[in-house]
Parts: sequence; C-alpha cells; structure tokens
Amino acid sequence: MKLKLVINGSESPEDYKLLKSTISTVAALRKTAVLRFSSERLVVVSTPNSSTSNSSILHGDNGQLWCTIPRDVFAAYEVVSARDLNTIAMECSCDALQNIFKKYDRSINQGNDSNLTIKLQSMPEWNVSVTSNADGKAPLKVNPVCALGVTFEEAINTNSDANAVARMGGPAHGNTTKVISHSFKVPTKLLFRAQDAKIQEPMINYTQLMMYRLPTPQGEWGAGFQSFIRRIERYSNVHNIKLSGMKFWQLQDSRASDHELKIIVDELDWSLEICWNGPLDAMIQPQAENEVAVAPDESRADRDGGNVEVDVEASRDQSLFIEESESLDTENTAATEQMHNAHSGAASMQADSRSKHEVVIRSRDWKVCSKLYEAFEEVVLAISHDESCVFHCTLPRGSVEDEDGERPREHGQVIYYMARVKRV
Amino acid sequence: MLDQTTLFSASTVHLEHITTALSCLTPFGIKDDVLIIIDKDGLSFARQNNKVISIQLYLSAELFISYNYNPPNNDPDAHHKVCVKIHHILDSISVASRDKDDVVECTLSYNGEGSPFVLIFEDSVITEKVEYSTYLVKEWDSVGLELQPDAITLECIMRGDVLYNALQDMKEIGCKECYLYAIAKTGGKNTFALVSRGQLGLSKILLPSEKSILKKLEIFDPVSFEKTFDLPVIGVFDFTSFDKIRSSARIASKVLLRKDVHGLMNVNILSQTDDLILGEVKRSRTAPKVGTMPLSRDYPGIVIDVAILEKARLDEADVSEMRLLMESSEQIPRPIYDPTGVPAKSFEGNGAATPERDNCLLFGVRNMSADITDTAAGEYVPATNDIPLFF
Repeated sequence: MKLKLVINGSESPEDYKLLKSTISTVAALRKTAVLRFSSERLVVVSTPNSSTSNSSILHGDNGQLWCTIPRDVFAAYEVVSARDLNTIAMECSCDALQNIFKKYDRSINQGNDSNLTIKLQSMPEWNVSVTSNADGKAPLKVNPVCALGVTFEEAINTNSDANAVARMGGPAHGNTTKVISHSFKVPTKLLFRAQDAKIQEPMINYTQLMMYRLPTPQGEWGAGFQSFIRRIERYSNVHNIKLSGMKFWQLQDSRASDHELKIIVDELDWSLEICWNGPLDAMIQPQAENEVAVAPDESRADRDGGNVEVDVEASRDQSLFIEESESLDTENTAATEQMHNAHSGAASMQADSRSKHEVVIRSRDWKVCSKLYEAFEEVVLAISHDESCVFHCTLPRGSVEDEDGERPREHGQVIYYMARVKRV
Repeated sequence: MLDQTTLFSASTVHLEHITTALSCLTPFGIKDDVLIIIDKDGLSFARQNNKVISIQLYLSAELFISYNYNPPNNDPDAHHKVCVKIHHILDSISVASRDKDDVVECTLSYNGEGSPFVLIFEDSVITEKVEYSTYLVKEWDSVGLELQPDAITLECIMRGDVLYNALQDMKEIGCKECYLYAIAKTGGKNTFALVSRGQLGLSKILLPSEKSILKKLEIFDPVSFEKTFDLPVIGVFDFTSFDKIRSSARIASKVLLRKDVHGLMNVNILSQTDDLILGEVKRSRTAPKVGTMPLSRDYPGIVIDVAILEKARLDEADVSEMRLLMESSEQIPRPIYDPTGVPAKSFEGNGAATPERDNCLLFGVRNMSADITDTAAGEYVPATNDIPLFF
C-alpha cells in the first residue's frame, strides 16, 4: 500500500482551494471523516459514525457529505493498493488536517511556493498497545492505525537589518535564507475492505424529484440568493424548516419564473414563509410525465414498511451522482413505479404533488448549505418530495487537451445529502 | 399589500433603528409577551414584571413611511392592544442585509382581535412573511407602578451615557443591591451617586456634577413637597431589577429620573436620532453606513418609560451608613467617576437659562397609564422646535 500526494497552493490556487474548502466543510460537520483514495480521485465522506455506519440509507438523524476531488487537482498523485481501483480508505480527524492547511496557507500567503506533500506512513509503535489490548481474540477487528505524514517547507529570510543592506546599495549578499521544514503526522485509521464497502453514497428517489439550478453564487443574483438562504438564520429557535418548490402551470405575467422556491416554518403559534422571487432554473425530469399514467393500487403499508431500503437494494452496487439520473431512472423503473404508486391517491392529489415538492429538513443542515453555496460555482438543489434533499455543488476546472482532443477536466464536487426530519 | 381596510398597517425601512429600540425590551424577559398598543400616533410596547418594574417604549408614527390606523367609527382616541413575544418580533425585525444597495422594506399589520400580527419583508428578490398568533391579550395592569406627580421627592436629568457607564461598572463589580443617593446643596453643588452593595462591600459611583452632565437635580421635602436643600434622598433597589434599564440607558441621550414619596422611581429615557447614530459609530467603530435612509425630520426619537419599585424601606442603619459613606467623600475635590472619558459636547443655553419647570415638559406630562391615547402624543412628544433648548 502506497500513497503519496503533492499539491502546490501557490501554483494552482484554485485546486488547492477546492481541497482546503472540502476539508474545512467536512470539519465543520463532524470530528472525523473518511478519505477514500482511488486511482482516479479522492473522495471525502462525512457520514454519521463513519466506521460503524452500516448502510447508505439516509437515516432521519443526519446528513451525509460526499466530496470528490479529482486526481489532477494534485501535482502528483500516486496511489497503490491491492484493492480494486487501488482504493485506500481511512478515517481521520478533520481538525488536525484543517490546522495543517491553515499553517500552510499562512506560509503561502507570505510568498512561499513550496509543495505540500501527503504520504501514508506506517506507525508500528502506535499499533503495539492496540494489538496487545485485543488479547489475540479478534485481532482482525482492530483497525491498524497509520499516519498521514504532511510536510511542507517554508523559506524565511533571516536578514536582520534589511535597511542596512539597502543603504549599502549592493545586492542582498548578506541575505541568508533558511528553510523550516514543517512535518506533521495525523493519525488515521485504515478501514478494511468490508468497512469501506459499507460506506455507500446515498440514493435519491427520482420519482418525485425537482431539481433547481441555483443562481451562480458569483453572478448577478448570487448575493440575493445567498441572503435568501441565510434569512432563516436569524430565527434563533427554529429547528426544522420546510423547503417547498412549486410549479405554476399557468404562467402569470407578474412573476419572473413559473417556479417558486420557499423556505417555510410552521410552528404552533407562528409561521414563516421566505420566498425567492429572483430567477430560478428548474431542471424537469422529462419521463415523469409518462409515468403518471400507470397507477395500480398498492398497499400503503408496503411503502411505509421500507421504501427507502427497496430503492437502495435495487441499485446497491452503484454510486449515484445526480447528473446520471436520467439513465438510471430507466433502469430503476420497477422500483420507481412502486414508489410512485404509493404516492398517488386521487387524481387531483397527483396533479398537486407533481407541481409541489416539499421536504422538511433540519435548519442546521440548511446552514451547512449556505456555507457550501459561498464556496462553489455551480449549485443544484434537488428536492425529493417528502424524502430527502440534496445540495449539489460543482466547481468546474477548465479543460485539458490530450491526444483525444479537448475535454473538460473532472469537476470537483461536494454533495450534501439531507434526509427528511419528519413527514411534510 | 397595504390594504386601506386593514385595521393597522405600517411600513418602514428603518429596521436597524427599530431593532436597536426593541432590544431595550429584552432584559424584561425575551421569551415573554409584550403588549403592543396601537394608536394613531404610533406604537407603544409595554411590559411589566412581577408588579415591580414596568417598561413602555414608544415608536412614533413618523418612523414609518406609511402608517395607517383605521379604527372603527374613526374615533381619534381609539387604540388597539395586541400581545406578541418579544423575541419573535426582534428575530424578525433584525434582518441583516448584506447588500447595501438593496433596501429591505418591512410592513407590519394587524387586523384586530383574532388575526395574527404579520410582518412582511420585501426587497428586490426576496419576500418574507411571518405571522405571529396573538390570542393572548393581557390587560395592562400598572397598579402601584404609577408615579404620583404631586408627591415627588427627587427629580433629576442627566446624560444617558453617564448613567449607562455607571450601571455597567456596577454590573462588573457584582452589585447585588443598589442605593441611590442624591442631594442638592445650598451652594449649588449637587451630588448624585449610585452605591453598590455586593460581595466587595460598598462601592460608590459618584456621577459628575457638572451642569453639562447632571443637568438638573431637585430635591423636594417629603412632607411639604417644596424644594429643599441639604437633605439627601436615598433609595434602595434590587440590582437585577435596576439593571434592566441599562440597555435603554445605552441608547439614551437624556434620562429623567423621578422618585416619589412612595418609593417608586420613574426613569424616562429619550433617545434622539442624531445622538443615537453618533453612539453607534462610537461603539462599532465603523463609518456610518452609506445608503441608509435618513430618518424623518419630525421623528422625535425613541421614548422609553420605566417604573421601578424600591426594594424596601430603608432602616436607620442603612441611612446612616449611606450618609457616612457619602460624607467621607466631601473632602475629595474631584469625583471618583471621571468624566474625561466621555466626549464633551457643548450644550448651548443649557438648563441654567431655561425656567426649571420647562425642563421636564417633555417627560412631565407623560404618565404611566396604559391609555397613552388619552394624553395626546403631541403633548409629550412635541415637534422639534418646541423641545426645550437644552435638547
């Protein structure tokens, strides 16, 4: 097993920013995160109890954050492992990593241009006590602890009297540059293949999905949308919020778009509606129209029993990204039909539910979204009616030219999956 | 949005100003109901805690771009009452707009009993509507918290920031009980002091007696109610109650303190707009916000009225202790509380030239009754040119 990454913050600041903001977002969520290195990319995952989590099902308790960092973000990327795709998975403390990045940041800002090197180092001395504690009973259960060795160099000018040199007019021959070598070891817990396999990207139910391409954060409407997202934050004692996307079938002259996005709070003695009036780019699923025709009766109990599990089961071996939705939807027709039927009651209900997508999420999760929104360029909000909500941020990274011609580089992306807290 | 048939609706862009004003209510219980009294001249926010302390905060109709109150039968003295939780209103109203070019306009409305109190915030891209249920209307009960105007023993006007600093100091030294000591000397040298009793024992904070700070101090005989000299007035208050006026004093330009013979103290606070803006700049150390709309010229400022009941009658031991403590300072020529930290302001033609009675015109007429409609607002909130010169 071998792992060596090099990144240079001063040569490719955009790439470095992606890595840094990924780590800081993850650190804001939970203490630890799973880093999964494969030959193509680094995936950083924050899930509830990373190492013990046993499924990719979105539970009611917490959101999951999945961040993709393509290999070409790094100046050098070398991952060798015995597993498929050279996968190495580990769990480590985000705070420690974040602190190192902060130190490196400072050094970069002072004009240094050194590389940041990340290596996996085995730490036999750290594992001694662990294995002896296990009593030889189940040594396999104990995850080996390694270190992510992070190093960078910082050159500092030790000339004590710069003025004196300047006065003498000569070249700064008196300047002595000294190099400080920073070296950190972040303890990480290597995950076994089985543990790694359990960490799967959550599934989204595509039957009642509404996706909005949100205004570009840096664009004309970015500041406005940012304040729309944050408006709710001043209400100190709000725990749950309802996101509501509505489609108007009759376009009225007065509104800018035929879609409406609202943040709704409905408490016992007060209610709140924050409505976005700016442009909203809805991405409608074309095949949703056709599916409505099929509506055999199904027992409601079936749905309540475990619709989410069924859905996950159907495509357990795949990691879903939102872009791939269309192709996957056709594969999942069996599952989706079932799902859809459960939703459909009277015909009027159906029309209503198709034009309205609502989900109740935690306001804490929404706050994470507001932070993410600031840091990325393309953001998509997906609302799966009464089930989950996905905040998908992408950072396009230009394109590369190779023998096949020009093609875009793989995007950096962060996807935040939030399960509903309760029914709408 | 502004329906002429609605009982009450008003819209404003001065949300920051209103936030500053309403935060003065927070020490009186942030999660509790505040009574809003709507009449044709403005909004009063009133709250009373355990019949020991009460506050009324008045926002004049001039603060709003439009202000519509349509009482049935067009009765000019009509008013409506509604109860809303303080933190609800505060949370909503404190919209922090990042975008300085985009003004958030807020519309408040209420359509009478049974309907919610509605706030609507609008800017160019966001509409926010929040509704608060209003089914709990508590009657305003100010029994025992009304100053008896013909039985006043102490009347005193001072600068608000000085009082605020004194209260801040008292809080920091861990005051438990707060004594108020005021005496008018025949020679014209007046003394106003706050004494803290806490774990540190007694500490005395002497307010500067300069006319620019302590504008007026008059002591009246507790029996004949004639102006008297060399007789101290001493009051004792529970500091947790007394401290509730601190956040109001923070924004105050002038404070009028009056105490009657029954142990009730009335604190009347006027926060004038220009002073307030100055104060905010001083505190936040930022340049005045560009793009904020100037407040209307006719806007009289925030008026706050607090009534505090004395903790107990003073016994002889307390009185002699206070006198001893205060007299020990007679030898010290300079007050302990040094006013140099306070920015000096010129008050042209201040109190001395104005007839004494006029000084309290602004506050004097205003009483604690809930029916503030009865005392027409014009009387205690005169137009700018009617305000005594020293303001």
